[in-house]
Amino acid sequence: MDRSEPLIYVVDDDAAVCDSLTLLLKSVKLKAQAYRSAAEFLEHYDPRQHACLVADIRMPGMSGLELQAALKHLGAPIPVIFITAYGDVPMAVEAMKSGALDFIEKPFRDQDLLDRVNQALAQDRKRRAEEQRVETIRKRLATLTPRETEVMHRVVEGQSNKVIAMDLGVSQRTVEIHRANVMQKMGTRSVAMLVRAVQSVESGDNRSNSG
Amino acid sequence: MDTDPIRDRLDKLTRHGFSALMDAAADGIVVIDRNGTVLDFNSAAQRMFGLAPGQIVGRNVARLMPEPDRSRHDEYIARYLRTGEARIIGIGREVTGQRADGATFPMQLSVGSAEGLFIGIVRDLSAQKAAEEENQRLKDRLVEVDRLSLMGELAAGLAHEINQPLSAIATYAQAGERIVSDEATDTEALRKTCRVIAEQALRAGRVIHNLRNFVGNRQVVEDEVDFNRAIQDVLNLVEADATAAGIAVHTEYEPDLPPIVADAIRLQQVLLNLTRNAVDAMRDGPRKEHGIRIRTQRSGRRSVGVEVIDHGHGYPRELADEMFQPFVTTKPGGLGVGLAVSRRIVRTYGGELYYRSNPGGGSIFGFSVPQKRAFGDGHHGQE
Repeated sequence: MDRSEPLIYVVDDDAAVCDSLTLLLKSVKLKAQAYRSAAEFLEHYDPRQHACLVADIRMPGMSGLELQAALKHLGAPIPVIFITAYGDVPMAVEAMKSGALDFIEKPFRDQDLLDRVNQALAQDRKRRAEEQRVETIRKRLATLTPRETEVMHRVVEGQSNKVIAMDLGVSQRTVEIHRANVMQKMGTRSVAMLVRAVQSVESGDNRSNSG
Repeated sequence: MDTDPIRDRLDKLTRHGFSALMDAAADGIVVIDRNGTVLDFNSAAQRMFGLAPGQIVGRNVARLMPEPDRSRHDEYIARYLRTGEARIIGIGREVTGQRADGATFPMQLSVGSAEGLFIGIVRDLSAQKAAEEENQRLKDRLVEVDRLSLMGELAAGLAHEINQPLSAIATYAQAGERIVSDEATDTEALRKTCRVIAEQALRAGRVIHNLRNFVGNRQVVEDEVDFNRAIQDVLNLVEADATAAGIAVHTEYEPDLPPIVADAIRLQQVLLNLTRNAVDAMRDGPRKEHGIRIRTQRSGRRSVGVEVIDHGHGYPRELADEMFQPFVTTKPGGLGVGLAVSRRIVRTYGGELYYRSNPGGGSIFGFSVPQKRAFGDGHHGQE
């Protein structure tokens, strides 16, 4: 299966709601996979799949909110759209506070749902592109020698070649060579680009540590 | 003969203060002879029947009662005198009296016979009867109040249960529209979409139908009830409530249960009360995923029963008796009549409602009802 082709996971305990949603998504050429419970979905969920999740907020067994918490626990940042019944608004608000993309009240206009699905897929796509970019940077960072890594950190901190050379007890010329190697290996053309690249890796690390 | 022997005897009684006794009595006292002619009629009787002594003394006592007794009274006396077989004399019974204005009323009549006379003592039972009827009416009303308040409590779940198919219908129809607009229209997909739309509309209709059955103004209809079927018929009301609280309902039906004679709606009301309590007991608890189990079963040789098993907070032993009393509730905003009314309904059918704690944590409420009513077979029985 091509994991870059968007997939919409549908989770609702009601068979008809699942089936009708799948049909609606199919009618606009979107691929959907429906599950009747949160547990069943979690069993089949593939975090590498480009996807979003449309889930009922109230279900027997694991509720939508509990599913959201479980996904968070797994560190799976899949965008979630909750479908709610009349009167569930306080629950939906709570879901939004916990990071759900949006909620939509049943019964809904098809376009409202499709707009949100497309928005969710765009968000997922953006996140995956970002992850891809960070991954590339990480791979590039791994190709640096220890000396080059040290020089790079000092450059990013804004130290001049002269200060770096003195601190490391090497010639300024040597620093310049290391620095050129770093720029080349990292594929960056300016110090500003290098700073952004290193920052995005660090913030990525922070995200996964706190997730 | 210039002296009447009966008159003489009466005079003797009178000399011993009979008259004072008569008028002091709270009950009506009517003295008649063996022809049914009223000889004496005390003040209490005068007030009760609205007759002055002049209007009744010397006339036949039959005018104090409505038909058919009125025409037959002479015959009653004659038969007693002939056979000595007492129907009222020395026994007393509840009969109907008629006042001067024609109004009838229930009265307790005891008759003694002495000196060839009959002395009737009558007590007006209308106030007592009215109080009993009022009491009965209030209890019946409480059953109705419980039924309607149950519906109120179930409203949120029902709204959900109707909203589900409506939501599916809307989505199917909108998908159908897109399928039609597609150049390569797939008629089979469209046909299927139309079919599921119809199915979902019927599903919403069934919820409303069951609801209307349960809520509508109605007479009590006692008939043979298939226990399992009665439960299946309200299951979507039960599930609506439970699902809205995130609790699954599991059912176990004992096959081939014998039918019982009862009003199905009343039995369903009891079941709804029990499942309602189960949902409330589990709503915020940690064992929601165990769900609620409804189990029908044979109990004893000729009884059928049902148990509602939850995994909620359970009840302390000392509350086990008290909770069946009316207006006892652990729920904020609860009316506290559900279990009291349920017990009353179950007893009407000769059964008993019980509570025991669930060994796995939580509660078990259940009842069993004899296949035939305890006091007869339902057709010849008298209440």
